[in-house]
Formats: sequence, C-alpha cells, structure tokens
Amino acid sequence: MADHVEHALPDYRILPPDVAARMAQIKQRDYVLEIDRVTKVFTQKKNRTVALDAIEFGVHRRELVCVVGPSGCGKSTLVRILAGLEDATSGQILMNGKPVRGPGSDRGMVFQKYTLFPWLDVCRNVMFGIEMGGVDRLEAQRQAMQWLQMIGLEQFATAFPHQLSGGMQQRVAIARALAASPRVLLMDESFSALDAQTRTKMQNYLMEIWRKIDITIVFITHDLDEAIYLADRILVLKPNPGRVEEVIEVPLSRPRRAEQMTSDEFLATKAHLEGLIRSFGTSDDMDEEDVKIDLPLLTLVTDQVE
Amino acid sequence: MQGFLASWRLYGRTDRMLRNVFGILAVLLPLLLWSAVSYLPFVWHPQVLITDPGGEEYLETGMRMNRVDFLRAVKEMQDQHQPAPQGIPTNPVYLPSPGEVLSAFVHAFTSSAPVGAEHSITQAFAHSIRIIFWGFVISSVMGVPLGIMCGSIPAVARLVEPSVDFFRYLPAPAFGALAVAILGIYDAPKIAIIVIGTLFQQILVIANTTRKLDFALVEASRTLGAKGLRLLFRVVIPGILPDLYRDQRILLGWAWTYLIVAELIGTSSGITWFITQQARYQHFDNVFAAMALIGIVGLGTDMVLGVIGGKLFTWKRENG
Repeated sequence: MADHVEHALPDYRILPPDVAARMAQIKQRDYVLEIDRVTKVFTQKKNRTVALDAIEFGVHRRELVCVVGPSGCGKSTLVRILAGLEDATSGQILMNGKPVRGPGSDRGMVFQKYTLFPWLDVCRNVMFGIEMGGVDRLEAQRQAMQWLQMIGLEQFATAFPHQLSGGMQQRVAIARALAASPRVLLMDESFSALDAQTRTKMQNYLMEIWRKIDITIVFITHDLDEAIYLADRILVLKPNPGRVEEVIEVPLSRPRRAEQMTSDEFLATKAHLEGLIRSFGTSDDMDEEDVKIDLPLLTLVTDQVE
Repeated sequence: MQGFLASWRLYGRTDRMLRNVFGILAVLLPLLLWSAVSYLPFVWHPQVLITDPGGEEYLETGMRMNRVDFLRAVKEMQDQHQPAPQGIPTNPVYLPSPGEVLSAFVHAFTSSAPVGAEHSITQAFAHSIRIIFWGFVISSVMGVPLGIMCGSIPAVARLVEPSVDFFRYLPAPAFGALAVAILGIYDAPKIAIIVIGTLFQQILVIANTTRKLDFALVEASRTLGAKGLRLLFRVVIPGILPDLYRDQRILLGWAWTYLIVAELIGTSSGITWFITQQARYQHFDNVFAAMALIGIVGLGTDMVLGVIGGKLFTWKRENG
C-alpha cells in the first residue's frame, strides 16, 4: 500500500485554490497571540536542558493551530507558558500586542487530565469561570445553561463529573473554558485520553464550536491525523533543543469531513510529517513501527498461527 | 460458603451479608472469649476465693489467693487434722466477669449514689468530654487555618513548619508543670495539654492534606481567572474538605489519648480520676465499665461522624 501511495501523492505545499484564498484571508488578520523569542531552560543541579530555544510564532485571530513534535520537544512546556502556568526563561508572550504575566481568563485551557471540579455539578463547573469574571450568580447560571445547550449536555446540568463519561467530561471542560470568554483556547492533548471513536466525535465537535464563536485555538497533540484534520497551520517542533522545524499550511478545505482523511492531500501531508518526525530520530520516537522485537518462540513449534 | 472463602483471599470479594456477619463477630468473639475466661472454671482461674477459712487463722472469707498457696494451706490443715479451708476457683480481682462489669455499667446510669470524689461515672465522664471538646475546638480554630495556609502558601510553610516540628516532638506531658504554673490547677491547664498535644500534629497533617490537592485543579481554576482568596475559598478548601474532615476525625481520637495526661495534672478530675480512684479501691468492675464507656462513646462518635461525612461528600466517596 505504501508504494501505491508514494508516487501518486501531490506536493503537500500546493494549496487548493479555496484553501489558498482562506489562508490569505487568515494572514490578513492581526495576531491574537504572539510567541516572541520564547526560551525555556530547565536547570537541575548541573544539568541544563534547553526545552524551548527562541520560539517565534504568531497565531492569527480565529485560526486553529496545531503543535506537533516528538515527545520531549517541549510542546507541553510551550502551551503551559502560553497559559501562564510556567514562566519563560527569556522572551515573552503577547496577547493582542501586550505582554502577559501569569495565567488569566483571556487564555482558556483544556487539559489532558480531567480537571472538572469534582465537588461541583456540571452547571456550577461551567459557571465557575463566568463568576470569576465578576458576573453575579443568576446571570452566570443563565449563561452556563446556554453553554450546556450548545454542547448538548443541558440535561446533565445537575450531574456530577464522576457520573459522566470521559468524552462528556472533556466537552464540559471545553464549555467551562469557553464560558469564561477567553480570546484563545489552549488545548493540551485534550482528547488523548479518549478512545478513538469518541476522539473523532470530539474533533468534529470542537470544529463546530470553533466555527460558531470568535475563538482562536492552539491545539497540542502527538496524533498527526488529529493535527492535520483540525489545523489551518501545523507548527512542527523538533527536540533537543526545542525549535520550530517547519510551519505547514494544511491543504484541506473546510468544513472538514472524515472522508478527507483518505484524500491525497491529507496523505501527502501526513507522509511529510511522519518523515520529519522520524528524521528527528529521538529514542522514544512516536511511531515505533521500526522497533524489532526479539522474542524467543514461546509456543509449541506445531502451534502455528500464520 | 464460596463467598465466605472468597472473603479470606487477598483483596477478595465480600457481599453485604457477610460483611455484617463479620461485623457482628468482631464484637461477639472478644466478648465470648472474655466470658469463657470468666465463667468456665477450667479455662484459667489461677486463684481461689475462700468461702470458709476452716482452721487456718490467716484466711478470711472473701480472700483471694493463688491456687498453689491454697493447696498448701489445705494440706497443712489436713496434716494437723483440722477443718480444711474451702474455696472456689476464681480469676484475679483485676479481671471481673462481663456480668459484673455490665451491672456496674447499668448501676452507673441508674443510681445517683456518690462514688468517691467525682460523684459517678457519668458525671466524671461529662467533665472529661467538656475538656476534650474545648481542647479540640481551640486547637482546630488555630490549627485548621494555619495548616491550610502552610499547605498552600510556601512562605508560611517555611516560617511555621520548623518550629511546629520542634514542638511536635516535645511530649505534651512535658508542658504539664508549665501549664499549671501559668493557668492554675483547674480545667484550663488540662485544656491546654489537649491543645498542645493536638495542635502541632494538626498543623502538619492538614498542611500535608492541602498539599495533596490535585494540582491540575488549581491550574485549571487559574486559567479560568481564579486567584488569591477566591482560589483558596472556591477551589482549595472545597477540594480538600473531605480529607480535612477525615483528618479531623483522626485527630479527635488523638485528642482523647492526651486526656489521661491532662486529667492527672493539677487537681485530678474526670474519667481518669474516677478510674484511678476505683482501681485503688479494687473496684475493677467500675474501672472496666468506665473504660467501656470511653470506648463506646469514642467508637460511636467516630461512626456517626463517618456516616455524616459519607452523606456530605458523596462526590469524594464515588470518586474513590
């Protein structure tokens, strides 16, 4: 199958006309979020690890950017710095041109772990960020119910997080983050704890929400399919030290559909990404198909399965 | 039967009925053992209760003596052809039978006759409970907020915890003389001992509980715009509340262990005074009844608090 695809694949850099037009449109918009020469160094005793080395990148308004890279390339560190949960060693983050310090409600975040407050019911969870913005309780409740309607979970308003499935919890977490009316939504491998089917649903879901409201999304993932399926642009980081390797404009038109995942453009982009990631050659590569397992035969010789 | 065997395996399963059966057995087996030792003469009974001194001069009715000594006395009398002393096998005076303890227990609640300096078990015990209550309340008023601050504010932790750790290792009784010198001889120094014994542990235990709050929840709330006091009151405290409650239950038990020391300093009082007095008179049935009362009240409060906790914090229980 691999050979069959290889010679048929177009160049991933050639954008179809509609995508090119859209890309040009996006690039005319201002940067909402700018990463200005951000460097992060971890010092442990005498070990200095450069996790991020002078990262420079700008995210346009209402753009959906995915960040990919092999494990250890600092993509989680990057998103935590964007959220303000960690400080950059040097460089800064600009929101609408102004430098930010610490976490704030202008940058919402959805974590990989389930982080709904377990002592609050679903509605009160969504109300949390609204109330932190200084809105009184009744109004917050009204807004929260609207958000729950939007994600289709209004009948679970009084349920507690532990009574919901993982996918539902992450949906509520997205609603909770969006309800605090952030400018940017940061997602740190938010769907990676979900099973494959739920993940696909959640991806469509996220794009549906993103179309309807004025939100800019930065999505960290290690799943290349997910990155290509979701993103306008993909920021590829390379490890040791973490640097921007390439910024890929995804040659897929919107709205995205699951069928596009078998299109030539998709496969070409994926092949290129896989090649890039493999070229970094870290020990814990994300696709380990090359690993040869040396296992002695532990069954009877006569007991053949293939 | 299969369920019964399964409940003995490592991490085995039990059903509701078996759990109840084991629960009842847990109470019944020690009681049965005690009854066997008390009522079956062949089980232990190392002494003899004299019913008739016979010809031996130094014996009196109602005396207890070791069986060996009794047999020697019998032999002596027989050799001298005098009437042999009579007696029945009995346990030492410090091990009264369940029946005697039960009647002492019932007596304590039904009679108002004065027994010693403290008038009855119930009065002595009420006094003890007052001491515990105030000691624990005063300790908690200081210890809970301080513990939470130690667990959540690094500067407070650095400032407070070293000295708390120092005081924690000083045994509370060491403060006895000091407490009496400062606070007089009545209830105040006793309450102080309970406070000293509980407070320092309380600060460290609660600080640790606060530190164990899932940090992802704190980070999530920060990205939602929570900080300062609102972060503390809307996230940290609700998040640790079930564990805090459990800590308080354990610490309340802790406070009880300091009661004995507390009640012996200054003017002895309360249940400890009652027990020591009764032991001096060799009224061991009263001693056992008092001990049973402490145990029952302790277990009872803990069970009630446990049930209340389960009702209050359903989210925690079902979260595992």
